[in-house]
Amino acid sequence: MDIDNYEIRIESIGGFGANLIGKLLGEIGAMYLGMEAQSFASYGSEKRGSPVKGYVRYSKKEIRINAPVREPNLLALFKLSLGDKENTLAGISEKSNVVINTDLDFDEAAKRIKLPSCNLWILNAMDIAVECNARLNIVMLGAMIRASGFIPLEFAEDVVKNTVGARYPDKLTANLMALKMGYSRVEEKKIKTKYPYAQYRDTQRVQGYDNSPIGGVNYCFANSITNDLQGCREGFLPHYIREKCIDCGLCDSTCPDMVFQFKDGVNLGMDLYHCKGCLRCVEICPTAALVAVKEGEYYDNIGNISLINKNFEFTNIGENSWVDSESYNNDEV
Amino acid sequence: MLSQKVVFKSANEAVCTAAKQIDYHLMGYYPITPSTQIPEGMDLLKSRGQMDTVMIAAEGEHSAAGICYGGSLSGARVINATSANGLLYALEQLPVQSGTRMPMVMNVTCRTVSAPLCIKGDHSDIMFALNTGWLILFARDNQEAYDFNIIGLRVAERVKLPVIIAFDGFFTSHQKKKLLVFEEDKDVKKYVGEYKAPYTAIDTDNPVTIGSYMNEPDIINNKYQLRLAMEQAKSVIYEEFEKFAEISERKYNIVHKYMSDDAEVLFAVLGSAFDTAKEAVDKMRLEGHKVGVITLQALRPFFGNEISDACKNAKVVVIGDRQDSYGSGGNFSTEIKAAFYENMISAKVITRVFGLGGKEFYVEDAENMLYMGIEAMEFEDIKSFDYYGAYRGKDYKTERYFEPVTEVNSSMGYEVSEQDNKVSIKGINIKKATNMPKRLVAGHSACAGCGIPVNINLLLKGIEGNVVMLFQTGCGMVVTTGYPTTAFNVNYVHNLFQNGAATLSGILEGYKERQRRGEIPEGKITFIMVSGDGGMDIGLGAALAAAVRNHNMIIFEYDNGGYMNTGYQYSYTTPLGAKSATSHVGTAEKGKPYMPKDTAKLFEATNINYIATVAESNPQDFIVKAKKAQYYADNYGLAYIKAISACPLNWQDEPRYERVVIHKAVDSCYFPLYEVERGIRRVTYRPKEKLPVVDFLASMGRTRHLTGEGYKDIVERVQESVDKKWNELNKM
Repeated sequence: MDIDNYEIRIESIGGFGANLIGKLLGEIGAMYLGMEAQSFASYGSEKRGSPVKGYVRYSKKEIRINAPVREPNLLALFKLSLGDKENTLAGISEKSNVVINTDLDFDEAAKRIKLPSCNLWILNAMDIAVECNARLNIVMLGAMIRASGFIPLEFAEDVVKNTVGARYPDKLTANLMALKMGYSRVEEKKIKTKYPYAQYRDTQRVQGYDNSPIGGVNYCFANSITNDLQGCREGFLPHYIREKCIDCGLCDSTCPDMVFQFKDGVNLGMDLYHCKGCLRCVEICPTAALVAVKEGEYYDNIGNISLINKNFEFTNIGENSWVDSESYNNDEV
Repeated sequence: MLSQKVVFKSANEAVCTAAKQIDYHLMGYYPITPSTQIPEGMDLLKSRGQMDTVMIAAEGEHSAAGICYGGSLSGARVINATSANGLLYALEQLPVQSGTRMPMVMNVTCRTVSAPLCIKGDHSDIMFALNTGWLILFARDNQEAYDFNIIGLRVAERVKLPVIIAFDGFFTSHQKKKLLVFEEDKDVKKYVGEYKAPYTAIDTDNPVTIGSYMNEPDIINNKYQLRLAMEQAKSVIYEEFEKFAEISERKYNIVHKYMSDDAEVLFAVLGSAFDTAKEAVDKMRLEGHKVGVITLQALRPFFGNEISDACKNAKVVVIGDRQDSYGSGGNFSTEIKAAFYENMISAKVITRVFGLGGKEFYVEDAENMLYMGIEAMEFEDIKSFDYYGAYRGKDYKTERYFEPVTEVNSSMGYEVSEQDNKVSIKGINIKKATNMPKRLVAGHSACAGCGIPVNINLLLKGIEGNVVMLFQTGCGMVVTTGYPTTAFNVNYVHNLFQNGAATLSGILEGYKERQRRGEIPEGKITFIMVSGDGGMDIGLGAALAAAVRNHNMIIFEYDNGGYMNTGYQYSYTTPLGAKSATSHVGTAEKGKPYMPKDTAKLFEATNINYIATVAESNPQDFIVKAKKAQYYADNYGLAYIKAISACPLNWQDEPRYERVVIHKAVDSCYFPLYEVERGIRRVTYRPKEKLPVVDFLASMGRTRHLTGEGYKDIVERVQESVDKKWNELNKM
């Protein structure tokens, strides 16, 4: 396959190790395919649970652009629900290959996130990762190079050996297996949908220089309540069983996200818009009134009961959060 | 020509390679995004025994600059890396380094200067360094960042001036690309040669005084010498570019040009935007437009003649500034304009301030800039100075989502009494405390399971009435106030983390004075300064000084033992032996190198009336101490509370089990719970069974390796210090 320019975008959440995959893909381009290559991440967050983007470019010519990949040849969604977020499906056309980690089938997955027509590749990377006792990111790498159609599996195997293998030799066999299974198990289908092409847009807010309070001051106290953080969860959330509750208040003392809605000393339930699924409360509850359930099994959301204004739309929090360096976290593969 | 190899690295990583090859004696640094990867990478090399440089993590950039200065006074080769406010905090030391003519290398990974706090890239920091007497080379990509670290050192040592190697934060510092590096470290070391300082502070056979007290008439001569050195640097830079070309086959020019010779419209820009603009030039050339782009590789000395020469045929020069010297325009463009005047260049100049705060620069942006120049050839009405990319905004309504937290709805009826220099609190329990309205609300973006909001909430459950909060820089600030949202339901202020305690002192004294003058009504506010352990490193001086002055305020420290918001570099409270991004574990390094400091004990020496340690594992005790601190702050002056705070991301443990981990810290007496009330220490929680400290260390990924063979001595030392402190506490 003769490729002059090839652009990859990875949509993931902090903690999934997408950053490493971007690095490995970059290395494959630069050191194995002999092309010019570039790899970088959105300077958002490696914080657990926050959306992150990874970008990779290959070219036969000098790479001059250092802005995000807006029209990827290959897009990977490390989690299906990321498809709802801003710009995650931007630039996808019929020519694009899209790899999604999901347990749904082609049509259901496409429908769930309103995916425009494209060449879709799906796999249940989470299950494969568990099966291989490896991390999801390596499974996704396998699927992505398969979907690329021109990156040989041997190159990926070699780069995994040299990086993961060098640092964690005892995990190498599991990771190589995960890579291969991602490669072989991903399934392809050309899909035609009614959803329109979405253009990549840089964030532009309603606040501008004419109407922002000077000095960066924010008058809108406590407006973070309009953020919907459910996308941060990694598959689990607490389920509250009122009958077992003794209203001791320990859950409220351990919850970092102010989920528990107490009124006059009685626990009325949970504000799940803001629950990140850390399960601290499940661990602390003395009467097992809080139990861990898989996402989708139960959903008893009463929202925040102290709100005086419920007339607003929630915002999925985006990538514009804190950066941290990659080196330390990426040591862990 | 020396042998070279292809690597795939970011500029920060490439700098590490250059530093390793140069084999510096010493690095003094303080972690700050986005330059932090440089000391991190160097520490990793050191831990593997691949590099010998002494790495000293200072408690702030000012001290880091001091360490570097000291290092160079000893005759050692010294390197530093910083960004943004770090550069500004060190700024005072920069003219000291150059004024005493001590060469060294500092990499500045350019980033926006606060406030408002922004971590992304522009050139607002580097332009502050223009007047410091340092040489400044500007690298536009990873290759140049590597090369200039080698070239810059040689120039610096030849002209006896320190040098800054600047490059774009994130765009260059973090993007990995292909570049060539010299294959053999020894070749580089040989190329840079040995540096023999003309004088040092350690040559006891030849005593010297460095840093004379000097007024007129001498200063002007001294400065003239510095000016001459800068002039000399102009030719030395050319010579070194030549010499470097011989070993690398990469020939640099002070003005780097693309399609500029016959261009009618030129775009002049610094850093990574240059390459993007080349793409725009190619596109527009195809359409028949005579356009080109140039960049400058050095800001100090400023090569005004050379850049003028490069622009002599242009009709319009559009200058892109990634920074503004507010009221005057960006420094890059004002200096070019001054040079044009001197060299009688008649091109029309259009200046555009762009890309502030890391705003992306796409090819179409470069095209727009060039088209502006084309229009300006014909039309007069193109503004000569403007911002590019700022927008007016659209109408929006500001909503209220909650009632403010008032004196009334935050009064829980806690009972406070005082007898025999001892304050007792009644009426607090966890169930009742659920009624306290949240001053910090949901929707913040902390990691799942983060300890910071847990600790803030537990603290505030004990604080009745009005509060004003001031957060020093740190995760707690960053995750709660990302514009345009804020998670605070009460007045909140951020200041940079060496200065929170001082700032809050000013707020509360201003409040009291305005009250005394009758300008604002009577009433009570509890003033609380919140800081991480990082803020209590860099800001310790200001915090202790506020304590000595005994203002009526609370200082609350959440201590997670590391600089977590920048990716976990070790702090002065990180456990001995813990892994971090700046304390790797390898053949030559065993994690965090020294014992954590006892911050609470430092506060004891200020003789404040109330000091307490708290932990979420003992929530009742926590809330009671918060209430006591409020009482003391109201009536007697400064109160200090320190909480141990979980960080699932960097402690490398499960968010779900954080309270268990904290329990182990408390039950092993690694983090004993006690208070010091008017100088009397009192243990407030005694574990039923005192756990060995290794139980706590084993529960976190960052210290789990300490359970292995080969770390026994470290665990013993930790245990010993824990036992010593516990015995000390129990003696009282």
